Amino acid sequence: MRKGDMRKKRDTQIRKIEEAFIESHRHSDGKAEELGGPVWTQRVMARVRREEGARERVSIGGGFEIPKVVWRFAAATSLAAMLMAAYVIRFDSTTRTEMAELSFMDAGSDVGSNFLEIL
Amino acid sequence: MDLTGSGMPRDEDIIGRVLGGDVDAFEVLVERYRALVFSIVLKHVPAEHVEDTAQDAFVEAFRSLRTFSARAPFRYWLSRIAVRCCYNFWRDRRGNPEIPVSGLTEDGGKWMDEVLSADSREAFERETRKREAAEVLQQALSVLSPEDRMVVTLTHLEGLPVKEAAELLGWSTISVKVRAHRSRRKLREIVSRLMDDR
Repeated sequence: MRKGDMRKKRDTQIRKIEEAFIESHRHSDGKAEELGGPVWTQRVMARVRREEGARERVSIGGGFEIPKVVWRFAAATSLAAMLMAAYVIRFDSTTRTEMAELSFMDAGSDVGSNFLEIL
Repeated sequence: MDLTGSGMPRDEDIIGRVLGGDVDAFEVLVERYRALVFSIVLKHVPAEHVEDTAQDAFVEAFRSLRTFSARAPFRYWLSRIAVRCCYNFWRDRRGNPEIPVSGLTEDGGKWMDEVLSADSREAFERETRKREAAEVLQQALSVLSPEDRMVVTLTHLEGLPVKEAAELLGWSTISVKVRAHRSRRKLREIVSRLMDDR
């Protein structure tokens, strides 16, 4: 058999198996009506009720408002605390610098006056 | 309450009741669309995982019920969820195939021989209804990635148009089109290898 004929035969065989797959697949839902009896339905509804229960627990007190309010309050408080801390640190360091300058100036004037007195 | 011609409450009314807090009303939807969801899931996941995956689909539908806009019928919206649950099933098992990838079983090899030698339509169809047909198909699909598997199943095996498959999967049409072409070629290569394994 020539190479081309062999290839053609092979393609025909593959196509036949593919056709068989398609036929098999299209008949595979025959049992759909028989599946999922009352026990299965009750299992679905039990899961649905659990979902609803979980949703209600989350939404007690007006949906997601409580967690949001808490987070917003915490963020605002933290920001305010940081600003106050920055202000205090800056104020403190400025005050220290000013005090040091004043002391130095005072010390300088004392030294100067003492020096003048010596002269 | 609006009723359909058959005296059954409409899907939209039931959804309204569920969203209003009557969770038990969801059972009506479960009963109404149970067969639809099973018919989808049966075609995509192994038999032993069908019930759990169908359950996942309904629970996911319940979770997402607020996003249902009634622009499309509920059954279509639910079908999309069921298809995505099947995709999630395979994505979660990526690289962990339950069916051995290589080596056709003796029964699988025999089934292939029978299919290839079937000389009438009746004989061919008889073969396609055998358990081995589903087994060899699952073996071939198990080699594909979850994405390829879903696309080849929807477009090639079920024969859905690319646009519809894309909508069911929630992917772009072009992505599904490219993947459909590639995954079909891969499936043919796998079939060829399985034929050599006989």
